[in-house]
Amino acid sequence: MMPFFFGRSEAPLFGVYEAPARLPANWAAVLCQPVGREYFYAHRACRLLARRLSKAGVHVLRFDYSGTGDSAGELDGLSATLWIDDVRYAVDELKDLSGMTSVALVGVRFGAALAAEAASGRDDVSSLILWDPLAAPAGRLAGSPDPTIPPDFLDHLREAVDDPGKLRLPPTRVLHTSSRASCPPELLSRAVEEVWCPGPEAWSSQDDFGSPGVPVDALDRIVAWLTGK
Amino acid sequence: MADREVTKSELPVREQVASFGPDDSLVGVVAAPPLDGPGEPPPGLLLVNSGIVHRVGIWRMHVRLARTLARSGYPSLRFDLSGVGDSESSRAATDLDALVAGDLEDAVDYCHDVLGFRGVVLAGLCSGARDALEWAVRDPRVRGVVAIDLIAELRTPGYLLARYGPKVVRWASWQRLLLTRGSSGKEPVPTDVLAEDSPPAGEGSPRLGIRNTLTREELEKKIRALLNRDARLLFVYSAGLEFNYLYRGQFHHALPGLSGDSRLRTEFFPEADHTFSAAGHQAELIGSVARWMCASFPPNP
Repeated sequence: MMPFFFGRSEAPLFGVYEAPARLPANWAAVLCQPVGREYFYAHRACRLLARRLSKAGVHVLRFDYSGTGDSAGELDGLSATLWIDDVRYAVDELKDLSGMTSVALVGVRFGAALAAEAASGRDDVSSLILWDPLAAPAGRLAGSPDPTIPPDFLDHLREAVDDPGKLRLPPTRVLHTSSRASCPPELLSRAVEEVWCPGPEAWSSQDDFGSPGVPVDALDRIVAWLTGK
Repeated sequence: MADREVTKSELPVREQVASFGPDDSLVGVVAAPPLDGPGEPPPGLLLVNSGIVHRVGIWRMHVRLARTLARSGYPSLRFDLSGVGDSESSRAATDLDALVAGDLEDAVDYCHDVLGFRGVVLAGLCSGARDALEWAVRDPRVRGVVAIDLIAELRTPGYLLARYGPKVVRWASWQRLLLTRGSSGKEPVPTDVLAEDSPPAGEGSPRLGIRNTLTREELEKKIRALLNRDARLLFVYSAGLEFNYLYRGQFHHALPGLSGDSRLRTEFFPEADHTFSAAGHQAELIGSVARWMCASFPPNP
């Protein structure tokens, strides 16, 4: 595991690269984490997913968007399109680190929307995994203000990605996995594969921070789908 | 137009990744002041995890505190204890306390030997406050502690009045009490009058899932040990520990023998919840800690 800063020199991004545990490695994947409070809850699950992918022979990079986690900046004054650029920086960084010519994007919750947007127009994203995709966090968090996201920034998110059913998908293989909801018909109609993984939600609060569930089944399904096993 | 002078506070904080401990299994981020000041550097801050929240802190509190302090001239290290966040769980330890102690010792070693900190101030919220306090007593290199919402037995008569007074004077509660007792003489006292939802001192806290609550005597002993070596202490409380802490000044009422010592400061945020989830409350907390650091350990000019 290699934690490091990358991206813009004036506002670097924090990332953690996991080298494949065995060679030859045929895959590389960028993890696009949830945002807001879901980022905190899902941190452990994302780390475990990275670990499992690494053990399966995948180069993995997970990172914090600008103004979140250990990355530089605050959300004030930023726009959500910057986060989409952050994903593109991460793709380029992982290609450099791994020597691979293409990568997969694994997006969790709002990270799925960012991954889909970042993948559009690129020919180096080989596959896309949408894990319980969410349009803008405001919908999920209605009535429960998220202390980590300023209200005006939520407006930026809504403008950036308004509806998961309308996600712009790249012409690659796409997996939709969910813990409780079926794939939106708009996505299914576009030849998206679907895996339903009932289990704990990685991004939900469960009795304070003491016992967040880790959806092990979902992690295994994602690894298996990505590596074709 | 003349160029505007760039002040030190406007320069970017320098941050770098840190790996240390057994097989470099502990991961953290160092935040350094924009410029190295002259003379003896001030102590640095070592931020301790709260439960399983990783090193950025709840609602990113540690990141903002670290960067604020760096702009004031104080370096810091925020890191993950073994098995938390990005740190591996590679340390052999017999229990959780030993595990945390080993991690904190390695972190202080790293701050001193590698980063060049001249003394360390430990800071944490809730379980992080407890871990910070416990290690501070054992390590003479620790020059200060910031303990935020430390769980300890601090209830006083003033606390009981604030907690139960409104219920005691509520007519409906007395009416139910009197009528109930009048009917059989054996009915229980209404629970809403004398409700007791606090974990007993000296016993584990199933509500919080963490270690035993510090007794008043244990807390006073630890504080005295730290003051005896001239450490500086800041205890911060929110209104989120309503089962334990409810009014400004309660800390000194609970521990009157420590009153008057200027090296021991307390703050109370009556509107804040336990995690300081409102952005304004978090900003006030960070400002308070920064002012305390500057007063306790004046930075280089």
